[in-house]
Amino acid sequence: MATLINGKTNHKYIVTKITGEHALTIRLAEMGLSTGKVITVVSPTKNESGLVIYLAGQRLAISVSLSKLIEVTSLDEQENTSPVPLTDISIHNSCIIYQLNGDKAVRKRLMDMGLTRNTLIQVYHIAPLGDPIELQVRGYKLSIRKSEATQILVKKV
Amino acid sequence: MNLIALAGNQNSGKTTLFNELTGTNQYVGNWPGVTVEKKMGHLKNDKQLMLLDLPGVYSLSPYTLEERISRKYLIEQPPDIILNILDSTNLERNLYLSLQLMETGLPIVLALNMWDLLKKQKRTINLKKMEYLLSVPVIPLSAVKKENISGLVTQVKKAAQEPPKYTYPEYDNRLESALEMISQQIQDHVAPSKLRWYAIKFFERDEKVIQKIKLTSHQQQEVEDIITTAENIFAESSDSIIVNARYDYVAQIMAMCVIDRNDFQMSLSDKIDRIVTNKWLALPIFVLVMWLVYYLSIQTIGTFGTDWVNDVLFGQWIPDITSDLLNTWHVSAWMKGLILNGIIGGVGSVLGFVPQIMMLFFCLGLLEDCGYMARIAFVMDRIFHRFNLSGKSFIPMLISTGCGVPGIMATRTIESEKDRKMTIMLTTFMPCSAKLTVIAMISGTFFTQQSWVAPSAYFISMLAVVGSGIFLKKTRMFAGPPQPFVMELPAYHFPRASNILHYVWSRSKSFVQKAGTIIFASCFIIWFLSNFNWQMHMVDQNHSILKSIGSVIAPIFAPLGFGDWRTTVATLAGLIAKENCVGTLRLTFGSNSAQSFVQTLTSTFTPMAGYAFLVFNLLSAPCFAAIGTMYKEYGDKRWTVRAVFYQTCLAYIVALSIYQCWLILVGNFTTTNILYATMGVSLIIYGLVVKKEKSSVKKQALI
Repeated sequence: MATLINGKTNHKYIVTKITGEHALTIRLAEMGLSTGKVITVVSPTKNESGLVIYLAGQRLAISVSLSKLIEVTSLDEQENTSPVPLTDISIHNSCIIYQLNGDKAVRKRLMDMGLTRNTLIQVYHIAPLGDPIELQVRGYKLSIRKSEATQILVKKV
Repeated sequence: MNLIALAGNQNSGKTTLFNELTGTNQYVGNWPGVTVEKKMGHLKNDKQLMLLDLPGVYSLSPYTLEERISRKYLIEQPPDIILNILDSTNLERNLYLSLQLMETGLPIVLALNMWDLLKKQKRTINLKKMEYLLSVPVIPLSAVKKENISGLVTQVKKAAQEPPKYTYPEYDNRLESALEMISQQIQDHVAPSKLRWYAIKFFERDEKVIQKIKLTSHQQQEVEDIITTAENIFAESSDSIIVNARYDYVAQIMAMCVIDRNDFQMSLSDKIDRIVTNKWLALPIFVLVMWLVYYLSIQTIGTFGTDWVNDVLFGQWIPDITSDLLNTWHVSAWMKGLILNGIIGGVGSVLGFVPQIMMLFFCLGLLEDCGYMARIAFVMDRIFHRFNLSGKSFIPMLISTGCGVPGIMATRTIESEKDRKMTIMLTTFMPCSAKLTVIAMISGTFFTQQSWVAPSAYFISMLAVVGSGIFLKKTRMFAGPPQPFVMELPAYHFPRASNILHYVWSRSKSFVQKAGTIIFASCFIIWFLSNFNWQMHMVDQNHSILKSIGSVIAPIFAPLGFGDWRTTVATLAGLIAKENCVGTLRLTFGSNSAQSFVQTLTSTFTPMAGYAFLVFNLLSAPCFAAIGTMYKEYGDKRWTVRAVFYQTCLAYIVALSIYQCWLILVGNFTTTNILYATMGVSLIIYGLVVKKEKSSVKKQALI
């Protein structure tokens, strides 16, 4: 799994996991840096100096040791991987929303529930009969039918 | 008087807070023309503050009925204050709605519910910062634990005196300038206070708003240009620009106010879900729970109560006392009949259902309050979705095998309006315990030693439900793409007695008030028709008005094999209660012994005519009690008539097809019966296979 230390200038990343002490996770969360957030690297590390990132309207300087604890997935590199429907993601795996298809009402409803582009979601559970599926989205759990899940294109993390 | 609208997500604790604020001063009804519940009530100890409970919604988009009701209300009859209740353990999505409510510009107070749970999770929200950032009052509370309710009441009263003002949440600069330009185009068409709301809705290309506000074609073009430009800049569609802007704004607030352990933890709720919705255990657990609900409300406690009310209270005690009283007063015979059979019988038939309803809603309240109900939909959706019903439709259907009245009322737990309407229409196809008497009578009389008859009745009922699901979806009433099944599985929590008692009480009360009057009136009319002749003399049933009506209608049933006035009257009498079918047949065929009754019946009708009679009574309009309940749940005459009409037509077609096809099978070829058989069968095939789905364009114009 890639960490932020390899971040390249002007590349966008999505935070997939923050390892390390609990106090640290809280500290970062207070600054708005938490799992699922999209960040842009403003300047990368050079000679063990910290790196600067941009997130939610603020610039943050992050030390090298800290950046090793932040696991990320590059959004730019993902441009090359082709999106798959959400139904292709197996249980307990995470993915990033790439695109919502379907008619306006369905799209809007899914967006209203917080399923927007570049949101990190996890397939949390599948109903005993295979449909619907339960997702972990923005800190809560949401179930949708497979018919809607096929309208959601995602990229694997 | 000040009007406060209570708004919030589903599962945010809205109902608990509403009950806590209003106590027993509440009135439960429906929003006009739909089956969505509308609750109002004034504040405890303060009649000046009226509270209105809006449907639980996640957004104010125009796509679901609940959302349309909420936003229509907020824009067209704006309340004095919006009291927005949020689940503080799930702030991100809850604030998304708050921002939309704030876009209306109405004074708003935010109530952060479930504050105790938040503390338990060792998380905190900086309220001061949040109030500052949003510039609206924010009150933490726990509706369940009754913590800080008084603080909320004080704040609401203060807000009622002097409505708090705030600046609109400001989104991305590029979006704001687009909204500003749209505002300039539309400002002559809308009130200044609603300018921002409409600007955002135009930007979202909201169909309802575009239909309602008539811009000139030049203005339309300008607005469209602004939107397309913005879409090009953001490289996204306009509605998703707005959604993203709102979620970004929420993310900023969250980042600044919420002190959070962000990693997701396996809570107790998740552990329960691992078992309850487990691949292998889910269905057995579900069956067990359903069996318990059925056992308690239909088989044991509920029915004990109902039987006691019917047989003892209204069967012996009250009639005995009253008839003694009437005898001592020397009241004339017809008056006695009126009071004893007409009035007391009518009242009894209404109140008889109450114990069952109370027990059922106790069970349902329990399931709903602890969070299992949402899991039922999750587990069962796959099966019912195929027949265009909701996973939760299972409960009404199951309950209806005991009694249709509580079954229809159980549809309350289904969220989707279409699913609920359809379930109400179909649920009485299930053979209730009263219909069992008809099944028993027919199979005992015509089909002795043949065990397939009773199971086949259940089978036909289920086929009627499934087939109707497929057919009705194609009609204009239910057409349209299936509502996206997007639902939240709330965390489990311990059910609260006060909530459940509230639930039981309000359901039972509204049943007696709303459905009761119709049931009573209809029973009274049928009683009158069956006891009087046209000269208004009291006579027995065989010479009554009902008999002459029966004779007129009877030919209609001839193609079904039972075009006799006695069976017709029995069918009509079945409208009071289906077990009356049997009683009336006995009475009209005038047989004293059971044996001679069987003989007269078998000599008058062929076995298949008996079976057609059974099928017709099984599927046709249910008893008045069920029709009254339907009316109560639909809140609309048209839908009730539509449902009863559909049921009766279907019953007729199915009975016709069965009887006529049987005639052909046993070698009776006449032109009429081949005509009838082809008619019936082809109608069924047409409905199920040939008919194409109607477009839903007209349907959307309803609200």
